[in-house]
Amino acid sequence: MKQYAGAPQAYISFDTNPGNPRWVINRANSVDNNVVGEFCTCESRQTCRTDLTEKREVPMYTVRVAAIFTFFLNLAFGQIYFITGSPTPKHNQSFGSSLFQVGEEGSVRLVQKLVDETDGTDWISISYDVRKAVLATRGSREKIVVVDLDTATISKICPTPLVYNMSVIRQHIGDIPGHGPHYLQYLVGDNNNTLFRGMSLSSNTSCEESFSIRPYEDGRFITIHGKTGIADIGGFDWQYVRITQDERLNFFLAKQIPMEYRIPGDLIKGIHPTAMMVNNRVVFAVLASDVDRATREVRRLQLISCLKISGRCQPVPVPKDSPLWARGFEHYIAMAEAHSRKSGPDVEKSAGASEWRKFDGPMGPSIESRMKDFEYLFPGRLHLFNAESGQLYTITTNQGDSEILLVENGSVYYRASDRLYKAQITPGGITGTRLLVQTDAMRDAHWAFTKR
Amino acid sequence: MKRYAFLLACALGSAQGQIHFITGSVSSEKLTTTFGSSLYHAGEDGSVRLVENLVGEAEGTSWIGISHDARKAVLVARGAQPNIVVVDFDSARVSKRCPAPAAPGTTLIAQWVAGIPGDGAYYLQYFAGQGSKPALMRGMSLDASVPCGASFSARRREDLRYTTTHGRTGLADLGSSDQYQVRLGGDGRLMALLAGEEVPLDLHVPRMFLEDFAHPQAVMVTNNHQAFAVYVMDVDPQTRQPKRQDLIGCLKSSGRCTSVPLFLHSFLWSRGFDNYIAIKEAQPRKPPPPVNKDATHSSRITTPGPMGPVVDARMDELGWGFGLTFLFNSESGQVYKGPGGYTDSEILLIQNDTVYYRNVDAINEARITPDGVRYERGGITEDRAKYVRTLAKADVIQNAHWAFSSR
Repeated sequence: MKQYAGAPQAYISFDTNPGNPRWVINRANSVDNNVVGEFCTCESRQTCRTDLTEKREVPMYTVRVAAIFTFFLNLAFGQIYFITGSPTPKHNQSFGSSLFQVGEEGSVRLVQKLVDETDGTDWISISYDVRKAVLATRGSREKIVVVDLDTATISKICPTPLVYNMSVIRQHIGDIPGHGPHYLQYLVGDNNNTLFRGMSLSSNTSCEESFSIRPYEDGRFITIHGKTGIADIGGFDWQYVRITQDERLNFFLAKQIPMEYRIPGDLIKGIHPTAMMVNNRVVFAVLASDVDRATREVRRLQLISCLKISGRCQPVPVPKDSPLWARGFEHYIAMAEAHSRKSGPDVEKSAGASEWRKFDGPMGPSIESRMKDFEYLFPGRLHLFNAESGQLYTITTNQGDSEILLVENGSVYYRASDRLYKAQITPGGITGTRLLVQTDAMRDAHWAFTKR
Repeated sequence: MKRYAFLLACALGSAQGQIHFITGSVSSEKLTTTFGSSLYHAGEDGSVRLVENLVGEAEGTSWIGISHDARKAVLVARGAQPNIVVVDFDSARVSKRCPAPAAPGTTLIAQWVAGIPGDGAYYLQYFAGQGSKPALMRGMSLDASVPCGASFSARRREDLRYTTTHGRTGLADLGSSDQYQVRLGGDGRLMALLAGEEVPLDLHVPRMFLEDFAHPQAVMVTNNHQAFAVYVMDVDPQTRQPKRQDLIGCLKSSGRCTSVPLFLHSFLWSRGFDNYIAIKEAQPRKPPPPVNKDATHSSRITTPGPMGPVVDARMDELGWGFGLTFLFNSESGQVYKGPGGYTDSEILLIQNDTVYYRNVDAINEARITPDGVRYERGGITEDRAKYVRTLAKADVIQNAHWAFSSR
């Protein structure tokens, strides 16, 4: 690394302080950002194996073949899909949901209708770990629609068996060891009787055989994508948690279920972990808050991210109430900046009102009406936190109705009103922003993925 | 001076925005019932004035095509040597009327209006040969200054690249169909199919639109200088119904294509106006389910008239039911629920973000605003007083399936 970087000892050094051993970067000494980025990433992932001091000559022919191969790989595997919809568990309205594909020259193909407008959805979420999106329809004749992210099609639709006098309180996607990916529901009845049941997401399992009662302990295997959309327009995928005296996280599912994760006490001094906002195979993020018990006023909100491989936790330095809109993409945590109307004059109004849809559409509500009296204001800034490097990126859209839809292979895809952008994430910042598509259906897109 | 300028502006304004409509209903050669066709003017005061009779009732029409690009309508009368009547939109008059020469030993397969670079506007006919007779592509110049005797000539198949396609007008088979079958190559290139021959059209849709089709069949639904739309379907061999379908609108300037995000049984009753596609909800009546119940039957024609048949009877004969009207903007990707909630309603014209539509026997005018209608919620239908205006109401309007504004 030292020889490769050119100015080694002054640029990166290892601080051997036993309390906090870490790499220290001296930014005054310039080095190619890509070199540093690659090095820092592999260091934190503990995957650095290549001796960079040995530079071998690569034949130009090999480079060309690799470039062509990469080009076709990108064509085949880089296809962006997005899912539209707006779950309405607490509204009388219902909205449909569809799967779209983004192609060359900004073309947009309607791949499949997922949920009919008259049915509407109660819950939608996505898990990049199990490569599935799950949509639960509204009403008593609830159906579970499973979208396979690898084939970009509906892989399964199952009606849920009726359970009388019980309501679904929590729902998640989980990956249960030995049983595979499941859609999990926690139901509570009139007499406080509870039920935790799962539906196998495997397309090889028939609907009849897919549903089973799961032990509450399977709750340890849930994945959590986070909150999508703004102003309660998208999906809700998070879980209440609490912390035990030995700094371990528990969540409540009929009883306290201990999770494998812990948060160092010094990170939560004066605040209490309340909700797990993100949980995937790389990272989890917990929202901690300080609430005035008398007035219920939130005095402080803090999002804490932890890398699972190292257990290293750190506060996510984002403004105000943004942690409430956190969602996860591997080691990245994306947020739409939000300010409570009660919190003062920092932000007077949500940005970009002139672009908002003023009427309900078939796949989502009027943005204007949802924003109008919403408790939070959105100034049109998106934040992306790299939980490995600790670097925070900010994307200014000047549009309150904007959100990060996908982070993958060093690229961030984000929506601003009816536009989808792609940009590169580099150690130096977000660069190379490109408009991919502008179309009306994009307004209702809150989930995205690439087909493999 | 200012006063004269003001008067001139007023005169120009009223002259430019004058709405005309054409009535008529085509009859195939097999049908004994024929209908005439006429040109009318819808006045600012709500009056309806007959401008000119285009085709007589006894003669009947076999095809009516319209091109807003060429600003011409072409009406083809029935018969072996039919009269071809050209209506010029700018003057709102018949500009040409020519008897077509016979083409013995051939069968007319397809016809179009085209704007051929260097040669001007043409009416093109493709005749398939019978026996040893070769196929023939023939054109008639629509230029009023070219006499009928010099107007007809053999044309190259490649002229198909310059054709415009307006779409399907009227309900059931009440209007006329200006659509044709195309083949979608594996690379997304479009080719016209002429009796087994393929003619490249210099148009293509991105390949991703073909991904889920095993044996795509495609129809050119509409094609003008701004946009084109292709209806692609996989047909179930047993039920003969589309089992997968997509209506794809493409902008010519950017090559950007967008699926129409609607889930209708069929997209065949579609027509184009610049970058808008007007779509009439349609599905077979047998077997049920019925069409959208928001649309109401209210045809007032109970006996066949000189310019059109009974609407309900024709829908029964065809076995199709019709429902709501939708508008799709290929540029913004927006879908609007079209104005007019009647079964017997259709969009006749869209220009300058204003939509002119027929509701049974009335022509209404409504503005498409950026915040316009998305389905039944809000927009044009919500604030009728502000946005919707009835231009004219008369019995003859029930047979109006084409409209234009003169200049």
